Amino acid sequence: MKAGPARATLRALLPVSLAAALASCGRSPVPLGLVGVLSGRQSELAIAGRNGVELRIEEANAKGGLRGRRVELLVEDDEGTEAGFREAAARIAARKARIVIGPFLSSEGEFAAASAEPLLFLSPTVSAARFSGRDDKLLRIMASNAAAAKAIGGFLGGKAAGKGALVVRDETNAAYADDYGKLFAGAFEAAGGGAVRSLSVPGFGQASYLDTARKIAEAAPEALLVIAGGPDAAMLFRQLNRLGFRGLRAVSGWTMTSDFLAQGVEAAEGVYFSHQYDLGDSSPRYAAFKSAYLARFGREPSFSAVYGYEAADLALDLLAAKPGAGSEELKAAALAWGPRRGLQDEWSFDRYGDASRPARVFRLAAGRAERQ
Amino acid sequence: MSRKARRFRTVLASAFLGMSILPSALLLVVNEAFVVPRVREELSRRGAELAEATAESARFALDLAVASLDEVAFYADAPELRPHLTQLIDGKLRILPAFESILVLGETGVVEATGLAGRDYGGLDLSDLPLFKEPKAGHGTFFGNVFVSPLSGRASAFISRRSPSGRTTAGAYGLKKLSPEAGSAGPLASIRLVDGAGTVIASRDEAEATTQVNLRPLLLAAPSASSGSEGYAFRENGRGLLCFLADVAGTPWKVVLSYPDVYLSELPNFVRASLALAAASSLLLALLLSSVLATRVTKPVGALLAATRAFVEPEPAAIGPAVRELEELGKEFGSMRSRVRRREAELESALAQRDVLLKELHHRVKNNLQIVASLLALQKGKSRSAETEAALQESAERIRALALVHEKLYRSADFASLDLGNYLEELCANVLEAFSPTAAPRVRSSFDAVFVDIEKAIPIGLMANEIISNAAKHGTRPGERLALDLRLESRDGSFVLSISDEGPGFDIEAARAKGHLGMVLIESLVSQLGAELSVDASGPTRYELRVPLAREPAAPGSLPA
Repeated sequence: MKAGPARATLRALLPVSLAAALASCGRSPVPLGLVGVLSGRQSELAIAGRNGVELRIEEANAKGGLRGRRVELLVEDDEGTEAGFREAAARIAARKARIVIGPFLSSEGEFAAASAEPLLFLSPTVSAARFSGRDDKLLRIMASNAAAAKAIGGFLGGKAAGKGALVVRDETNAAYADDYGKLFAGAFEAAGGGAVRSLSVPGFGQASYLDTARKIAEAAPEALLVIAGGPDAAMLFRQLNRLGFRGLRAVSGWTMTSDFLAQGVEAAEGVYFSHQYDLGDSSPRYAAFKSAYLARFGREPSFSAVYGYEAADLALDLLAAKPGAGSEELKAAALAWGPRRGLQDEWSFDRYGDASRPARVFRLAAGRAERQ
Repeated sequence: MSRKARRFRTVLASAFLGMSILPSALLLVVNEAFVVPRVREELSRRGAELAEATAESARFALDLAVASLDEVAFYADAPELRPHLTQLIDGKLRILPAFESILVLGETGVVEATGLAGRDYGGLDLSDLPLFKEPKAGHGTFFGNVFVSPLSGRASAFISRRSPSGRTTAGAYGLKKLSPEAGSAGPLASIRLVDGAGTVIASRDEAEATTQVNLRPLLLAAPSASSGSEGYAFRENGRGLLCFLADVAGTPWKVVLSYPDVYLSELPNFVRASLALAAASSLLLALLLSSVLATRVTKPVGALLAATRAFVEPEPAAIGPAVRELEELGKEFGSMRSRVRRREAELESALAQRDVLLKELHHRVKNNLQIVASLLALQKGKSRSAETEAALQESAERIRALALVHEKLYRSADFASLDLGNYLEELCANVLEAFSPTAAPRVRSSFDAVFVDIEKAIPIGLMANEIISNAAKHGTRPGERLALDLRLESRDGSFVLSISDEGPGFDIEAARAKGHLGMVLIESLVSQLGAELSVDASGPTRYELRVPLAREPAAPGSLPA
């Protein structure tokens, strides 16, 4: 029998209504993990990084998520301990996430590399040189600190001209501080600087800012490099100012957070640093990100926020490209991805999953970073 | 489709729709008109009340904190109390769990005293920090944003107070748990105290405070800068929230109460979606059912109607396949009817022809038999022997009996059966007439209606002829006239023929011994018929013949019918 218009319409409507009914049943969200030190003295890096990740995920969800599924960020505070990290990773894996953004401190890099969970770790900020060239489950969005350490070492070595330097290392992030300090020292001396001494601080939760500042003042180095978290370094420089320290002052890349700038204010004036992140970047892409971040969180982004955003961007791309893939397949896809357009520059992984980005030397002047 | 069919379909669809959609529509109306507004009203009232109550509670706690900072400043400014300053701060820290640390800063922003046991922050320069820079002189108070305290290492929001003497007293406000009022918000609600940037200072979920969760978009989404009693909707990462804001008076801090949208949006939306889906499914089902049913009912009727119209008003252009099929069918029926009628006529003709032939056959046989009987009668007239004459007479009578059977048959309706009573009556009259008794015989007869075919009629006729002939010859006593009694009775699948006279009887054994032809013939015919014969010849003579109506095989050697 020839189908009439009414019957044809009904036939067409039936699958549509069934599809609508199925769609209305709801779809489970796509889990994405985040782990890091989110509380305590060293939390600034992970909190800024989490904010960057949240911003990217909120953008994705505002546009409908991944293939219509909402992306859910599973945030875990590991409090900086190996046990805390292991438990946090297990909780994330139990919720079927396959990618974790984090950790953020280099001291936690080994925890991720050795994790037994079926997870791929995309760290926005772990940059200790020791992780370079290792085939593990930790991929790093930020480049190794080697180039930056050598750059600032060479720069200050040239300025110090035969005079010595002191490196203050916060041992709460020993993996980062040790690598950075050694590479700095080598470059400093190679560039004509004098001997490089080292002052280890077991974390400013235990060491007094004033005592440390006094030791530095007594040592009176021509150049000072502080490898510590932003708030601690700001507090330390403030005490050094009070004590009248006049040497060249530099900080590690780890230190250059928005808290360092906000809390250091006058104390941070004139501080040198080397970074792959350009604080004064005025490119439209970064400006748009900065504006969105400021509107979202009420504060300036730091490099951790930038790389957190980029890590989330990569994670979303991987999950979209490989919907059912396991961590190994996702890792292979990430390594084969090719150059990616970051917020400030183009970057890519090497075959070990280490990003390569150029490092530049800056000087803080009136709250702005002047390229040297 | 005809107008009536369309109307039928419409009525059917309307009935289905009415039955199926009405309950869904009713529930939807009830949901929209009563349930959703009541839930919204109740949640709005409760949410606003709770947010305000929590803000007041927070303000009360902050007043207590500020009073404590003033008390610390008073001790710091009074030389006689200053030795007890550290002890006072430690005491405050013990009884005010919201404070993680309390600092006394001198006019240059350098720490003069703290209450952190075992730690010496004396001389620490905090002049860059807002907690020193922001408060105005003369009891100015600053409520800062959350940051990691360089002293405690924990996320805190500082409250600082500038005393008239220029000293600053500051406390790291690190309350993690909110006031008990928060507990009455229900298990699904989130209630937080946030700083001016939206970072959580305190929450029911302590981790939100320690990890500095930022709720700025939620604050910016509020309808106005100031808080109000009206709740507002906010989507947080794809999930809906119903939010209430309350200012903590005199501070940039706010209390944020939020319910998951499951109450106001998701649940009603689920109900709406379910009802809409049910209604849509009902609609589709109703349309399908009505379409199918209407088609089933109207299509055959419509086809017949069209066919009828086509026959009544043939319009070649309008004749559809159905009409043509019916036409073909009609033609076939007509052709078949003609063929049947022709065949019936042929059969009737053949039957008539057969009847004529049978009639002619029986007629000719009867005539031939009568001719034979006549020849025998002529032969009897030439005979000189009484015995021969008698034999010829008997044979002639027998042949006449046979001829009478054929005469009855060709006079019958179907040429196959004859009325046995009628036959016997005529046979009896013929036999008696042939023997021409002196006195008119007295014959009594009684016949049931028994019809027999030729196969039974001939032997019965021959037997009756023999018996009646014998009675005519020997069945009278001297001086008496012949009295015959013929009875034919129908009994349970057989019939009984009895013939009796009132004569003296005869010696039946002697007759058998002599091989009397009549007797031999009777017994032979009885055997052929499969009948039973009883003879009482003791005087008077009585024959009783019981013959089954059903055909039985003829005995071997019996006479042909």
